[in-house]
Amino acid sequence: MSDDAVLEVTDLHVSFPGEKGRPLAAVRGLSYQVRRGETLAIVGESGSGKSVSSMAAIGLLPTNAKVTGSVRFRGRELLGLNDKEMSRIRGAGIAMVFQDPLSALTPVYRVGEAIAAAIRVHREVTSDAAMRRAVELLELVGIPDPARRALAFPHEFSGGMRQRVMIAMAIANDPDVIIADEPTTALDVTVQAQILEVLATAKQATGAAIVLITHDLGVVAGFADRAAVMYAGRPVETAAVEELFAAPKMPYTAGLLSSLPRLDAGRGVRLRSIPGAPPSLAELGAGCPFAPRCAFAVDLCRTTEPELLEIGQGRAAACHRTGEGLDLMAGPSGDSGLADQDSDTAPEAASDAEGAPTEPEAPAKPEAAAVAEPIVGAEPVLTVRDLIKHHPLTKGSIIRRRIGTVRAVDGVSLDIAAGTTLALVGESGSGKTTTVMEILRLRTPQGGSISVLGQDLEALNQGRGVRRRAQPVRAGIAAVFQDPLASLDPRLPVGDLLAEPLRTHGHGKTAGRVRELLEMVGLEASHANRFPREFSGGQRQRVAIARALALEPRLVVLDEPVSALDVSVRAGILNLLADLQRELGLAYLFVSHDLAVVRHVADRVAVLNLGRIVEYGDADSVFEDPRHPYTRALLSAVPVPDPVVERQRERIVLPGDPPSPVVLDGDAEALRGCRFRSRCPLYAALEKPEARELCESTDPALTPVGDADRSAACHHLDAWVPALVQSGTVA
Amino acid sequence: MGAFLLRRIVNYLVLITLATCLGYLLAASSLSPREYFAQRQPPPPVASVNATLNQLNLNDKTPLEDRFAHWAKGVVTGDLGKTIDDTSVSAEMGRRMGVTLRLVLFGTISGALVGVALGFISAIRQYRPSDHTITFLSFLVLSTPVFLLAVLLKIGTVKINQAAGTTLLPYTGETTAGLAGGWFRHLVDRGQHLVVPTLSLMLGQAALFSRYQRSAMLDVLGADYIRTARATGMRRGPALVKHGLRTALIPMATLFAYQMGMLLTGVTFTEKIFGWHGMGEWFVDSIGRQDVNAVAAMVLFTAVLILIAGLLSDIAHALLDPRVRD
Repeated sequence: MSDDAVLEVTDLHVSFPGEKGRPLAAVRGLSYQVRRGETLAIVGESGSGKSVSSMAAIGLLPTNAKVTGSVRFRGRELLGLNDKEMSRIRGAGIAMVFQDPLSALTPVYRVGEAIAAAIRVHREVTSDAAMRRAVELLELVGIPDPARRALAFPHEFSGGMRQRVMIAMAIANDPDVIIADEPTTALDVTVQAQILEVLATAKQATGAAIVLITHDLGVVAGFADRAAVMYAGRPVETAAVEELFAAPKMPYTAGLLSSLPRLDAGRGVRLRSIPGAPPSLAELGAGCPFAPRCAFAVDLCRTTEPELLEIGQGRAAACHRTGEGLDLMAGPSGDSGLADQDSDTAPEAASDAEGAPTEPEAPAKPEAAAVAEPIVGAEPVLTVRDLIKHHPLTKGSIIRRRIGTVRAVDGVSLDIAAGTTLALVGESGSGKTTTVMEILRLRTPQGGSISVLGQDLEALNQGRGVRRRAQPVRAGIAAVFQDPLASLDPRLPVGDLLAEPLRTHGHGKTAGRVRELLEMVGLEASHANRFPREFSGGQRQRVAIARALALEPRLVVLDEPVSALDVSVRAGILNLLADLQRELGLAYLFVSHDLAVVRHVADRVAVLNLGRIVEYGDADSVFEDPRHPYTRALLSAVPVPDPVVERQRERIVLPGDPPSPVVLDGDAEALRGCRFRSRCPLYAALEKPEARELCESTDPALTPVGDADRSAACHHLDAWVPALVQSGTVA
Repeated sequence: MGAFLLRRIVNYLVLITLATCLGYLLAASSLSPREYFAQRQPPPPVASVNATLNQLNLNDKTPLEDRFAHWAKGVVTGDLGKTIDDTSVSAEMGRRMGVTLRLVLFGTISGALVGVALGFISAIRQYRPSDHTITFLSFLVLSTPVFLLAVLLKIGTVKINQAAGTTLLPYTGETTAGLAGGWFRHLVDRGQHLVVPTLSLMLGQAALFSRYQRSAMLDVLGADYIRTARATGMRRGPALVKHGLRTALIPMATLFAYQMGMLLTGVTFTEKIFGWHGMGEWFVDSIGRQDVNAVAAMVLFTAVLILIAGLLSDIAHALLDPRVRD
């Protein structure tokens, strides 16, 4: 117990009343301490108890929660304080930054008022003085024109700007501890990089300790000093960040690290995946909660839960086999994949409680790797040329008048050859999803042309019998969306969900095919009569994939297929998709904002900005040698889950928000020149006026780059990018 | 804000015109003033009936367009025509309007306020005894028709007056006939007469509002921004009012406007039962007398009232939710 710790949590337990009177233990014995100026990361997946523990620390859990243990803030015990006493500490001593700043700010108050109110809760100052301080704080967190923006409402701010406001509120009263609960989770990577910079600034300005709650190991690597990994309500490993990443001592941590798709790894490397899913709190047994998913589990693990034991200076791990010197990162049998090997043991161990279906890893097919690589250059399954989708932007309720255009997709050309994967990447608002929806609609596009499986959509939609003629095309293209729970009808059993596309297309006998599909995605055929809610997130996504495959499509559109899933089950889904592609010769159009995932799956990649492709080509070539300044900035914003690399690398932090694709009528200036230049670090660094003039006057077209079948849309592709913005300076 | 309200007012004027014209056309084509006269004993001669009808612009032999044009010309100059008994509609309406407005105004506003307060308490004390009590009582009131409620209130008032030994709460008419005294005496007297009828309107209104307010409040109770407010150190009570109630009130503003229509139906019963000579009573009587112009005037009155309520709710909405102003 050190004396300089500002926040000290000891043996914290939190439980909620569960069904049948059995309490649900959400946090089971968490201890940590943070000193001023230090950053502690609490890492865990959904249900690991990481957020509940922080809410318990500031006393904001619902009243039915039972909290025991000790939370000391500057030596003072907080548990047991009443609301009045706690309210004096909240915001002043311990401040919070929450996820999803859209819902975290009251919509009817101006942001300046909100910050001023946070100040006046604790200090007797006039409202004018509080407002002046609010403007200062907004300036500190990097809001341009703070005096004017203080009068704006939260809905007038972008997600990143709102998160800056949240941070300004948090530091308004010079707290000693800032608890940041998933502060960057809902944000684009470019904005995430900015927000982390702002948090660092906030930490400097206040000297506060930061407790960073996150599931993103990349963020931990770059930002935290120490980390505690939580699993099923318990801390399973605590260590300094460098040591944690270099040599994890708990199989779960090791599994998480090796299951992460990484930007600095090559394409197509098979990810090690952790089988199964994080356990639900209701079904915890006596043994180690990770044992059913652990490749190293021995009998002892299934009967006795290991204690978190100190194993070195500031290091602790909860594993029976810590002392045995196992090479956790390598897996028990080399690289062949711990997940695959373990798939037989996992289901029995976890399915004893509540009869919940478990998630067996897709059975590895040793011969699958031997199947010939798809013939590159085979006939294209999708060809898009100069696709345009503009929406009118109107104003007024009775007499609607057009005031501008949303240029959602503004001239996109793509090709996907059979059996290959094309990834579409870009920030929110870049037109990824609109492009995909235009393809899936199978209608004549507003501008340009789309050809799916050799069928031109304009021709397809002309003449009689469009519906009948479109049927085979419809069957040949399928989609998997981000949130499997939302895209599966909750009232249909899985068997019916899978049979539905078959019946729609007139296949009579479906039972056999449904069984086959379930097995294909690594589920049991007997699961056909279960409902989607009875499955875990990863399993639901497997059902969604099975449904997409029902009609033997040749092209599958994957719209953020792993973004809604827990980190530890992502790898399993990505491996499954890779296997299916090899076995069935599928072509994928893979939409993602997660560049590390894209790095892992894509053969070719198209980078979108403002409805245009700015860089396009072979994935290896683009990722290893990005040429367009936007691609460089995007790649540079992705945190690498390796503290050594992460802290040394230079970063390009793009200023400002992802731009809006809205162009107001009569605003000719917006369409002139390169539309990326307002955020372009290269443009900002150009010295020759004629070079700048080129960016200002001429919209760059995609031009071939090098020899690797690549193209990029920039006037200065060969220019060296000197405009690396140093860490710590934000726009 | 000003431009926003101006746009709304223009909208409303168009709607009022439309509603009133349609109201007149409906009344003129479905009511039969000729029958009203023909049924008199002894039956008047046809020629004299025609003459009266012509004079009142009620003759069904005149084409509907002509009657409408005649009526509309009058309305534009502020003349709403004659009642079937050859008195001025405008004058009669002027007499009765104040009576109804007084009832409706106090009834809606107090009902909405009480309902919002009850709903708020109910929501923040969800599943506690106070919530259950409020829920039970509001459903009891909601399932009681206005005329039954009014009669029950009358009985209750009698008991109270007996207990007090004096007519504390008079429940017949809107004022005591032949009252002597100064303006203050009159004001108190009118106030006393107002209590029970207003209560009969208010109760239903409050019961309904409390249900809506409760669910609106429950929606925002779990909202992230209340958690944020609490995390800045605001205590539970102030956070619930400033961040919770403030946001949950917004949908109530819309409800307020739509409730007005329902309340005007209720006010007819209230006026009849408590012997107030207001618009509701007049409306029912006019239909019985086949009085086209009076019915049309009532439609105009209703339209104006509902749209005033709409305007009020727009103003409330704009005040509560600054996002709609621009």
